This record gives sequence, structure tokens and C-alpha cells, in this order.
Amino acid sequence: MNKYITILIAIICAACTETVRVDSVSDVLPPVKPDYAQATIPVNIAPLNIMADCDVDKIDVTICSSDGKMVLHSQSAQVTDFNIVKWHALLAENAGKSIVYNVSLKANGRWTKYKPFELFVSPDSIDYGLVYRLIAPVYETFGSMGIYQRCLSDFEQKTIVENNLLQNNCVNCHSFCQWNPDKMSLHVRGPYGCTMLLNGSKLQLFNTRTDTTRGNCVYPAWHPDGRHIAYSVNETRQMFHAANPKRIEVIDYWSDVVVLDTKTNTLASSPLLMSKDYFETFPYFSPDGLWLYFCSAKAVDVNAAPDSAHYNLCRISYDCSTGEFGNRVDTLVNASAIGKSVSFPRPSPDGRFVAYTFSDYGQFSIWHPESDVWLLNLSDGTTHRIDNLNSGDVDSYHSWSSNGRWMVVSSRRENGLFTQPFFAHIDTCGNATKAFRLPLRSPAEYDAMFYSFNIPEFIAEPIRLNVRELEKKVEKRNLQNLTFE
Amino acid sequence: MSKLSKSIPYVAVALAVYAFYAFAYGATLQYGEQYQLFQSTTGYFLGLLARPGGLAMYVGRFLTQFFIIPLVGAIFISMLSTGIFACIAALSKSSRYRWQWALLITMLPVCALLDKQALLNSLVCILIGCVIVLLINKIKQEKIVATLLPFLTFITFWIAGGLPAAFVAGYVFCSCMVDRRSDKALLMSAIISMLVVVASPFVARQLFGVQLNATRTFLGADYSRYVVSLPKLAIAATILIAFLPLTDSLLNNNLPTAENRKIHRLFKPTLISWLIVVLTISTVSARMVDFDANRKCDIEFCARMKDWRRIIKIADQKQPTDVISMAYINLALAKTNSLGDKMFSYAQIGPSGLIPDFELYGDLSMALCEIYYHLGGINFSERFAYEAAKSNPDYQESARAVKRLAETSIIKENYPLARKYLAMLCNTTFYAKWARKSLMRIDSGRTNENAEWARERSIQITDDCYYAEKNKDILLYRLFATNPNNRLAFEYLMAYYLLNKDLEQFMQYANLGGRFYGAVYPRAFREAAVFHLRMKNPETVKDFGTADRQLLEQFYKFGAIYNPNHHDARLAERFGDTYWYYLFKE
Repeated sequence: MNKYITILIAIICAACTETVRVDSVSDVLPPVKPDYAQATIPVNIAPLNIMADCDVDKIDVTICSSDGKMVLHSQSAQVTDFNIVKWHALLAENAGKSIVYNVSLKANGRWTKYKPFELFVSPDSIDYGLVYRLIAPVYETFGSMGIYQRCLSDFEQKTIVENNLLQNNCVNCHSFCQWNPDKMSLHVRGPYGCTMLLNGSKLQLFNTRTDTTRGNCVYPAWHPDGRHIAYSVNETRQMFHAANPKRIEVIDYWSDVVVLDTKTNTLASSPLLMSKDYFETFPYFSPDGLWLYFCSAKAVDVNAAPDSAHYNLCRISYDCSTGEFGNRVDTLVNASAIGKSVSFPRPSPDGRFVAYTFSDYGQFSIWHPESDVWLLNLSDGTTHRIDNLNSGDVDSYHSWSSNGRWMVVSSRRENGLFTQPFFAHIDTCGNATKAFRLPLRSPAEYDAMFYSFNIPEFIAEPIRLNVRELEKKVEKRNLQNLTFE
Repeated sequence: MSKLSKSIPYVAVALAVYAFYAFAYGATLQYGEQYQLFQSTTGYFLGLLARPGGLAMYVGRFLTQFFIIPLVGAIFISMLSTGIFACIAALSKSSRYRWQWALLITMLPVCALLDKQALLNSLVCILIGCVIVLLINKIKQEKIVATLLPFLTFITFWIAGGLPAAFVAGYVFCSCMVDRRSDKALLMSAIISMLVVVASPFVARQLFGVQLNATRTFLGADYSRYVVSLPKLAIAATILIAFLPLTDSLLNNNLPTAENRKIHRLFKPTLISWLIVVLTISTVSARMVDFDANRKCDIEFCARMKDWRRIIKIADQKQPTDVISMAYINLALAKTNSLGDKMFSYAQIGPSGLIPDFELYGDLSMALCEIYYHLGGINFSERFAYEAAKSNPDYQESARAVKRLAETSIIKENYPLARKYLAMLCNTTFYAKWARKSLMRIDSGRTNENAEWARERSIQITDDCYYAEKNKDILLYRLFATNPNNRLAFEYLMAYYLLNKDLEQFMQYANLGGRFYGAVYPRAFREAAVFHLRMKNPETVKDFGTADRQLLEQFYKFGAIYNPNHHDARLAERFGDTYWYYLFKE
């Protein structure tokens, strides 16, 4: 329906296109949003529409290829609406080169032509889509939320599941095995709580609490073999700051790491991952499956001093054929030694780097304005802040694309509260280009939205989840229990 | 009948409904308005249109905006009610009891609105359904009706939900049953249409990807903010409309004949039918109406509008003693600098009546949002605005909460965030002007020209700590310590100790209030101090000034009447407004 309305509007607008007669030329960049100037974009990304960031009568944008041969034009009252077919043709033709945005704005009956800006079209493509949760930046009450998949080559967003359907329980922590949408893990929290595992067409629900693990499984990470999933088990509480700029502190009273064997429905762990002296959390397997990365902090009384927990980046070897863990833990980034903390380790698909969030303390960096994404080079142990990806506000949850050339990060840079996904190209040395925001058909949609984009994860193909089956099983509490080995 | 006399029933219904909601129950309408944020954007419209009952919800929400002014909001309730009444009367034109039926059916959904959580959607849905039934009735050729009916039923389902669709199909089916001469095709079409009603929720879920549970998908539009509750009165109205042809036929068959004329004369069926209708409506409305709740809504609205004196006036007439109203009454006293003098003139319910403990429901969160806003706890006010917005059971955004979020963001000088909220408010009818003015203030760097924002900014807490439900006094002290001119925080701290009956702590900090009161502290504070000093060290009374000596005399009189084992009515009568009475009562 929306599509047809848009086409109709586009036809009407095309008929009303006005010839731009430039009254003045400005040598500054145009007052438009989002800021795409000098960004690097994937060759298959959806059109990057822009809108005037001030009161105007009209906006006119012409995009030229670097050789000036191909031209894409859009004129409208406030927001551009580039033809998607022509846009993709333009990008395909200009892969590895730049395209130029020429912007003119009409205000008070006068056209002003602004300084053009360039975008570099990377030949490295980005995955089919992005999966995220849309949820208001909530404290204790969460309201409506859902898990959605968005095709990155166009603007189509499809609902995977909304909590309306699941007795208004919270849905969270979607995770995929190697960008494969057929292997998905998802939690439902609340009175109908459970963990959903989608394995091909087989959908199972689990009660992940066992006597040994004390709590439900929380942060998931699939092993590349598609059979094992590492989870953290956390006892989590929220605290609320009185003074600006921080709002919420999410603290773990304790946490462990376990691995689920989806074939035998058993959980396993190691004393090194369930130590009473340490909090272990945020597991993630290396791409070869031989290592389990995780964060670990000395157990402290976080209730008395929430800022006293400092997490290091660690790893332990893992043999998926036997389910055995190594007998020692390697500390890769000793953040606690300098009074800092690490969270969300994410090894790159080629296994050369581990991206992680670096913050002042604690593990839930999503609420820490100082948090940034850093990169550990596993070959020489050096670390660096991924400058162009980060901002002055929260840059926390991040994921790699399947080819390892793109990274998406949840960032609060736009307004300090609502997280939005930003993408940056990562080169072979681990350096990023200027990040750009997930393009929506109209950038104004971000302003009207009361949701944060939570846990952005790339997927290679669309998800095929039978949501009716999930609804029925959740309602009937059709859960399988796990045992701890 | 003349045109004028024909219109009397309609005018009577319109006026009665209007007068009640405009003048007797307006606060409940205002309560409902705050928990929605109707936006005049294409996205908002298309978003609603994509679900069953969406159009009715859009219209319902559009009209609900006007509830902020009950005199205007009641016009729409009145119009919708009269519309339903007129439709039912028109459908039962041949019936001897048309007015009785029309009134009964109309008043069921109107009575449902007496519940403060009810949504106007119910009236819109039923009216849409009634209009469609009327249109069908207007079509004389049964073959056309037979062809159109299944489609019309599905369209009704999509724009107004399952109940109107059910009575559209049901009405035609019952008409066929009554009129034996009806085309067989029409009967078949009615049966198919009823199957369409049953199948529509499945179609909506399977083909259109609607992610609501089966019941909500069937109902389409929400009838109450508590979306899981079944709209019993709307269901009753649906059944009555669907069976209207049958009931009309049944009653018309019993019209006076030569044989039963005597019986009719004896039992006066018209009178009896009116009595039944009036009794039914009275019973239903008596069960639904809640003037106490309306009074609480009034207090809430006054707090929202910062009309503190009116809150006190309402409390003086009849004081509600629920946690939220009590918290607003205390806030109103504090905002009028009379908390210390008058707080025990009202039946206090303990510290939770000053700052309630947080629970996951919207009204309470909103109260906490107001309290912390005025105290200078801007982060907490922001938090509770969110909690209130997100506690809304039907998941609508809250205009009141979004406005407050814009304010807290401005006070915290987070202008990009403030702009986001203000952009949303710019798309509304009643908040757009305020939002645009606020945007202009931000653009020109003149936010401090708003005296309230400037004040809140100056008193907001800068020394970070964590919110602790059980140690609110620590937070209150920090608020006061951050800005020693924050009289509200000081009085709340003192009142908190008094209500907690913690006089040691009270006395420890009481001296800090000298800057506000000079030598004469508010009455409740003095009563507490006199009692404490007298009990702790009787010698200190020698140093009391004249005023405190008089207070001491009063205390002695109180002590003379007070008997822990025997309740003496004189105590409440003479000392019910003193701290001592609160201190010693059970």
C-alpha cells in the first residue's frame, strides 16, 4: 500500500519539478541531514535520501558519477526520494569510485546552490539485511517492542515477531549462527519466558534454567558448527543515576558462561567460566570455533559500588568435538589494570581482530556515554580505537558483516538516548571510514520514531520463522528442559 | 408529527450525554486524553490502517484529542451517541418499541465510557457498523446486497473490527429469518458473511501479517486501554443490533389485538418497556460510574496544569486517600508553601502519600514524574515519564509524558533529544503551539526565558547518586544540599521524616530551614519539635518562646484526652489536624 502511495506521490512530484535557477552559490556544505559527506558506502546499499535541516520551499539534489556521465535527480519539498533502480545502477557503475551530491535549496523563493560533497562507493558489498529489536529506550517498563529484519538494499522492514503476539512479554537477544537466518536463538522474558531455537524448520522452546546454573541463559553466541551455543547466565539489576548525563546502570551481581549442546539439550561449562571469584559474561566463539572469547571481572560488591567492576577481554580454548574447555584463561586486553572495562567481544570473520566496547567500568556499556568500539589485533596484541566509527556519545553494540568489511554499531550520537545503527567500512588494517546511518526512505522517520534500534545483527538471507508456531508454543508453555553436565 | 417533535428524542439524547460528560464527568475525559499522542502524519495514519479496526481507531484517537477540553470533547461523544441512536431508531422504524431499543443499545457503549480506561473507539466502531447496516437496508435489490454483503462484512471488519462486522452479517441473517420471502441467495450470502467474520482474524494474521493475538485481531479496534479485557457492553450492543429484526418482529407480533387488548391495557407494555430500559440503563450506569475516580482524575489534571489551589479545593471538599491523590495533594501544599502548615489538615497515609513507591503502572509513574520534576530530580522525572509512557497497556505514546520528556531534555540542555520530542508534538493539535514556541526558544538560545525551566535547571541535582526506593530521604537531602534554596526539597525531607515518625532525623535537619521561615517554622514542624523536645528533655521547655509555649499547652491538652486504649472522638475533632494526632493514631 505504502509503495503505491509513494509511487503516486513521485509521479505527481515529477510533474511538478521546477527548473533550478540559481540565485546564489554558497561555498559551504548544504544544511542537510543525515551527514553523508565523505562517507564510504557499500555498492548495494539502499538509496541515501537526504532532507533539508532548515525551513525551505524545496530541495533539489543531483547525484553525478565521478566522470559526470550518470545522473540521478530528485526534487521535493523537504526530502529527496531517489529512484531505487536508478540508484543501484549508479552505484554499480561507480563501484570503487566516488559519487557527488549537488544540493540546491530554495528558501523564500530563491535558490541557493551549495558546495557539492562526495561519497565513496566501496565495491565491498554488505549483507542482505540487518536484524534489530525496536524498543523504546526504557527503564523498567518496556511497552511495545519487536524483532524486525530490514533489507539493506531497499527500505523494506518486515516484522519477525512483536511482543503483542507473545502475551506482551519482552523479546530479546536475537542471535544467528554465522549470519545464517535458519539458525537463530531468541529469548522471551516474562511470565511466558523461554528461549527459542530455530534450526532450519525446527522450532524448539527451552527452559534454560537448571539447578546448577541458577538462572536463565542470557547473552548468546553460536559456535560455527551450528550445534553449540555459548550463553552467559547473569543475575542482573538496574540502578538509576540522579545526575545528568548518565541515566541507567545495569549491573551483574554474578555471571557465568555455559555452552549448550543443541543435539543433547545439555549445558556444559568449565570451573574457569563459572568461578565464584570472577564474573564471566559476553561469550563469543572465534570463527574457527577453537576459542571462546568472553569478558571477565573480579567479583566485587557491585551493589555498594557499581563502578567497581572492571572487565577484561579473555579467551579459553574449546573443542567442539569433545565439548572440552582448555585449562587456562588468556587475558587479551587487561582493561582493569588501567581502570577500564571491556564488553561485547566480536572477532572478525577472518579471525585477525576482535572488536570490543571499551568503557570506564561495568559490562553494560550501552548506557555509558564514554563507550567506544576498539579493535584488538590478534597477530601482535595491539589495540586501537576505531576512530571514524565512534562518536562523542555511546557507541556500543557492534557486529561484523559476513565479509568482514563492514561493521554496524549501535550509537546514541544523534541525541544521546535513542540508539541508531551506523555502518562503517573496515579495511584490512582495521581502520574505518566515516560511519553513515542506516538509510530510511525519509530521514525524518527517525525523528517520528519512539524506538531505539537494539542489537543490530547482519543476516545473509531473510528469516523464515513460523511466527504462529512460536505463538502457539509460547502460549502452551511447550518447553523442553535442559540438563547440566 | 412535526419535524420539531420528531427531533425531540435525538436532541434529548444528545443533550443528556453532552451535559453529563461535559459537566459531571469531564475529568475522566481529560485523564484519557493524556495517554495518547495523536499525530497528524501520514505514517501514523497508514500505521493504523494496516490493522483491523484501524480506521475506527484513527477516528477515535482523533476525537479523543479534544477530551483535553471536556466542553468540546463531550460534543463528540454526544454526536457519536446520537448517531448510533438515530441509526438504531431508523433500523427499527416499524417497531413499536423503536425508541426503547434505540436508547438501550446506544446507552450500553456510552455507559462503557464511564470507565476511565475505556476508549472512544467503541462508539466509533458501533456507529460505523450501524451506518453500514443502514446502507444495506437502503439497497432495495436483494441480489445486489447478496453480492456485496461478504465484501462489506470484510471491509467493516478491517475498518471497524470484528464486532461491527458480526452485527452487519448477523442483522442481515436475522432479517432473512424474519422475512421468509427473502431471496435464498441473500440468506446464503448472510451465512457466508458470518463465516467471513469468523475467518477474517485468521486472514488478517496469516495473509496480512497482523501480530496481535486472536482475540485482539478479532476485535480489531481496542475498546479499552486494558486491551485484554473483553468489551462486555459493546458485545451486548452487538448482539442486540444483530438480533434487532428478530426482536422487532417478536414484539410487533404482540401488538394489541381484540383478544389481548385488555391484557395490554392492564399491563401497559409501553410503560413497562420504558421501565425495563430505564432500569437496565440505570443499573449498568450505576455499576460503571465512579465519581471518586473522576475526582482523582480531576486532581491529576490539575497537577498536570499546575493548578495547585484547585487541588487543595477539591481535597477540602472530599479528600481522596489513595496514594496518588495524596501525593498530588501534598505536592500542591508544597507548591503553595503550605505543606508545613497544613499537611496534617488532611488524612495522611504515611510516607507513600508523599513520594509513592514505584510500581509498574502509569498513573503512579506519572505522579512520581511530577513530584521529582518539581523537586529538581530531573533524571528521575525523565525516568518516570518514560515509565508512565511505556506502562500504557495499549502501547500508545502519552502526550503528557512526551511533553514532560521534552521539558526534561531542555532543562538538561540535551537539545537534539528535545527537538525529537518537540517534532512529535508539532504534529499534534493541542501541543503544537507550545512545541513550536519551545523550538524557537531553543533555536534562539533563550530557554532560560521560561521561568520554570530556568528554576528547574538551577535546582537540578548535580551530585550523582542512585535512586533508592527505601532511602528517599538521602535523595531529598542531596537535592536540598545541591541547592540550599530548594525549599520544596527541604520541606519534602522534613515531611518525609514526619510521616515516617522519625523525629531524630527530623530534628537533625530542621535547623537548616531557618532561611525559609525565619523564627516561625510551619505549624506541623513546630508541633513535632515541641513534642520531641518535651519528651526528650522536659527542661528545654523553659527556653520555649511564647508561640511554642502555647503549642505546648495544646499538646498537654492533647495528652489529657489521648488514651491509647480508648478512642475518644474529641481527639479527632480537636486535634485531628495536628502532627500529634498522626503520630499517635494507629
